[in-house]
Parts: sequence; structure tokens; C-alpha cells
Amino acid sequence: VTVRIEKHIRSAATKHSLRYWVDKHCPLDGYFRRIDRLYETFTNPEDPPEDTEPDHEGIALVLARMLDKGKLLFAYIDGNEQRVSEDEWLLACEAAAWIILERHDQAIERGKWPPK
Amino acid sequence: MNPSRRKSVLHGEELEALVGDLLDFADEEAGQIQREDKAGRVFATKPGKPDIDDMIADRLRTALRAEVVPADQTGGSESIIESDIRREVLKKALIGLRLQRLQEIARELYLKLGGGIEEVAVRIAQSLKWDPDEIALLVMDTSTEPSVDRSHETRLFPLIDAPNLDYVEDRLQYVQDRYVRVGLARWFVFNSAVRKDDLLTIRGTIRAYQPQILEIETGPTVRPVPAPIHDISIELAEDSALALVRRGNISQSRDALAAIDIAANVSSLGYVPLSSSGVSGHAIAFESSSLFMLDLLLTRFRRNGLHDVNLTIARFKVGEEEAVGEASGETRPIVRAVRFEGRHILDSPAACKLIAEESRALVDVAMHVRLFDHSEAGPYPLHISLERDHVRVLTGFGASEIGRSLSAHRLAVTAVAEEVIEGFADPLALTSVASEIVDRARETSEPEEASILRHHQEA
Repeated sequence: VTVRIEKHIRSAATKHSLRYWVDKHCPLDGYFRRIDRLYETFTNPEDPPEDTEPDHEGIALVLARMLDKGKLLFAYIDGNEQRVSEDEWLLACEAAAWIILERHDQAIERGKWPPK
Repeated sequence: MNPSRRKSVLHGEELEALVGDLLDFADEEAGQIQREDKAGRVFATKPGKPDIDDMIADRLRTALRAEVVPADQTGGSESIIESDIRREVLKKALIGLRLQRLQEIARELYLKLGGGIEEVAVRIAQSLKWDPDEIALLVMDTSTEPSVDRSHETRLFPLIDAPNLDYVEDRLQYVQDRYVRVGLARWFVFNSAVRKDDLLTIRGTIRAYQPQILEIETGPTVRPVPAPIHDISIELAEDSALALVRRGNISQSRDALAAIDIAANVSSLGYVPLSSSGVSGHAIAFESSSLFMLDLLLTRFRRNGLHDVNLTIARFKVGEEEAVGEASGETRPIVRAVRFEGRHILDSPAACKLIAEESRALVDVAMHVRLFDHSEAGPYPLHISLERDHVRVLTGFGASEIGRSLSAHRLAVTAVAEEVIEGFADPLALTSVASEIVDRARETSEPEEASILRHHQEA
């Protein structure tokens, strides 16, 4: 299942250099472990195999909440910019969440997650 | 915590509990992740962080609701919970703008464009924090057509002769507070006729009844059921062969005019006089109603103080509107009208083809206009339609106060009245724009920039 990131989210990620932050400053392993748990939560084991695509949007929003409640992302954004509005901060959290989801997806594909 | 991929019914409170669980999970794990961080990054809480708790909870709730069919508990007396009604109504108001427009708004707000119309509407509503005032402003600002209940409406009926107001006033005094029959179970009550200089305003009421068959003790019987009482006003001016009817739908307006005819011999002409005289070149081949509309858009509105015309809807008549076939059960497909919707429609090759190559009648236009005054007020949605026996002018309130839109409406009515009485304002401009329309009709792709109306408006 591929994570598809919408254009406006990609734009926000670029605007705030969030790929750089995710790759360099984000504790990815910790987030990956929570994503695994969220995948279980958001997938119904009773569903037929062709109907088990997880609700990426729901997972991304829970991750966005984690990023909002953690201090790392805001310190990064706040350090780069004057002051962010509510809308902008929400979009930044969502964008970072989607990038983490994408990295999780790529790590599984490349056999790097889960750790052996 | 298991939202099914199949759309299954879930109690609203269970869904709410799921949202709460997920948010609690996120909050706990956020702290845990930080404690686990091997890099040991520690940051003090910064005071400037925006509070987006409600926004995320709302987004999550909406995302989960899209995955299941929530069954919410009624709010007592089997009624729907007020917040559900409010949200659905706000969504519905946005959906009325159609998907293409909603996607344009979503793009302007940097929102996700994908998904169905309801999903796009939800995203826009969320970004406006479900504020009914903000959403109302957005809807009014971007509606392609004014809605009847939030607009000024005038129907201009050409008359056989300009009325002699002394005579009409005298005749109407005779029927004051009396009624005349104007149709099957329909009457017009004359309430007042007020003369002010060269203007006579007649006010009356339409009373109509519907039959209802009831079963009573002695068997079935027919009872009259009154339709809502409808006030209507008709304005006549000395030396003007036009009647301006306000606050009436098409049949009520015709009924009111029929009543004035019965009482004071003020007769509707029965058609809108249109001609092609004065134009030359390609314009000669255009249908006369198309020329009527084009002259309004190009010249009349501007001369009357309306500018920045952006045509958003154009409807062409492509066949006779008689009901042949329907009664006989004929199933042959018939197209009677073609409607274009978008922005700067007059610049579209497809619309130009209908005007120039097929000589179709442009009978209905909706647009956004601005008032040409110091305030640059507007835009106001304006709708002009050519009916069999009159022209209808509908001006939306827009996002401004009602008084300002009334000024725009009066100017539009004056422009239409002049067009009906005097004919073309600028036949030379019509001839020139006709050539442009013919050229545009031959093009195969949409132009980069709207130019047809703009060139002439600027000129």
C-alpha cells in the first residue's frame, strides 16, 4: 500500500523544509513503532484482503497530534520563522506526519523496518 | 478502536470515544517518544505555539466519520442534534456552489482538492472553522447566480401603449379594495395606487386556492386550501410603455398585469420587441435576442454605472419550447436549451459558435458586476433572462449591505428598460464585437485570457 501525499501537503513540506527535519532531527524509530500500532488500529482484520487499505488520513492526523504535542517540530519551525498561524502550524504538523508515513512505507519496502 | 474499512454503522458516541482514545494515545506517545529519544534533545515549552487541539480533533472526527456510517442519538423528541443540523446545512450551502468552484476555493485556501464534492466542502468548512457567517460570505461572494430569496427582482413587461396615468389612477380608484378574477381559483386584490409625479405604484395581493379532497363522515368532499398570500407591486411611468412588476414569480406577475389590464386597460404587448436594425457585418446573422444581451453587456451596463462584467452563465435556446412529443409519449431526445457555466463565458469558443455559427438565441445570462462609483462596491451577482413577454432582472445582495445592492439593481433595471425602449445603445460596438465572436468561434482551444467583453468595456 503506497502512501500518496497530496499536492498542498507536499508544498507545505517544501516550504518548511520538513523532509530535512524528518530525516535529520526526527526520532523516526519511535514514530515508526507508533505507526505500526496505528496500522493495526485502523485495519479491520475481518475485512477481505482486497479491502484492507488503511486509513492513511486518520493515521496521519494522529501523528500530527503527536507532533503538535511533542516539542521538536515546533522548535524547528519556530526557529526558522517569525510566528506561525494556527492554520499554518496545523498544515506543518500534517505535512511532517505524511512525510514520516512515507518514510515508514519506504523503510518497509527496502527491508529496513521493522529492525531485525 | 477498530474503524472498519467497510462502511458499517457505528453509534455516534462510540465514534466520539474512538476519537478521544486516539487523541489520548497521541498525547501519551508524544511524551514517550521524546523520553525515548536517544539524541536526548530537550526543549523548553515555547509560549507562541498555536493551539490546534480542536482543529485536529475536528479533522480526525471527520476522517473517521467518512469511514463509517455514524448513528447519532437523537436530541430528544426524536429530533436531530442541533450541531449535526448546523454542520450539514453549512456543508449543503457550500455544495450549492458546485464542485468546480469549490475546488477553486480549496486551491485558494491551499487545501486538498481531491475527493467528492462533499469532502471538498467539508475541508473548506473546516478551514473556516465551521463559522456560519464566514461561510455565508463565501457563498454570497462566489455564487454564479443570485438566489431569489436574497435578491432584488424586477420583471419588465413591454406594454402596447404608454399609459395615461391620470386615467389609470382614476380607474384604479374605482376598484380599490376589490378583487378581480385572474385565473382558475386565483384573484387579484387591489390594495393601493400611489401617484408621485410621473410614477404610479400599484400594490395588490394575489389570492389563490388549491382543491383538496377530504374524507369526512358523510364521504369524500372538496375543500379549498389557500396558497400563501402574495403581495405584489406594479410600477407604471408616464410616457413609458413598460410595466415594472416586483416581488412576483412569473405567473403571479402575469396575473397582476392581467388585473391592471382588466381594471385600467393597461395591456401587455405579449412579447419583447427585439430587432437587428442598425448593426452590420457579421452581427446581422446573429439572433436578435443575442444582440439584445450583447448590447446590454457591452454598452448599456457601463453607461449606467455597472462595470467589470464577468459572465458566469449563458443559456441558449436551441429548440422550440413547445411540449410536442411529451403528451404523445414520444421518446425522441430533444435538446431545448444549452447552458454554459464558468467564468468569462463570452470568451469561450463553444459559446461563440452557438452565437455566430448556429445563430442561437442567448436568452439567459448571469454575471458578476461592480458598481462604478467611489466605493468600487460589489461584485453583485446579476441575472438577466428574456422571457416570452418580459425581461427579468435579478440582483443578488452579494456580500455587502442590501442598500448597496439595491443601487446596483436599479441601475441594471434602468439599463434593461432603456434597451427595451430605445434599442441598441451602440450598434458600432456590436458590429465590432460580432467580428471577434466569429473569429473566436473558429478557434479550437480556450484563450489564455478573457478579452471580448474587456476590450469593449475598457474602450
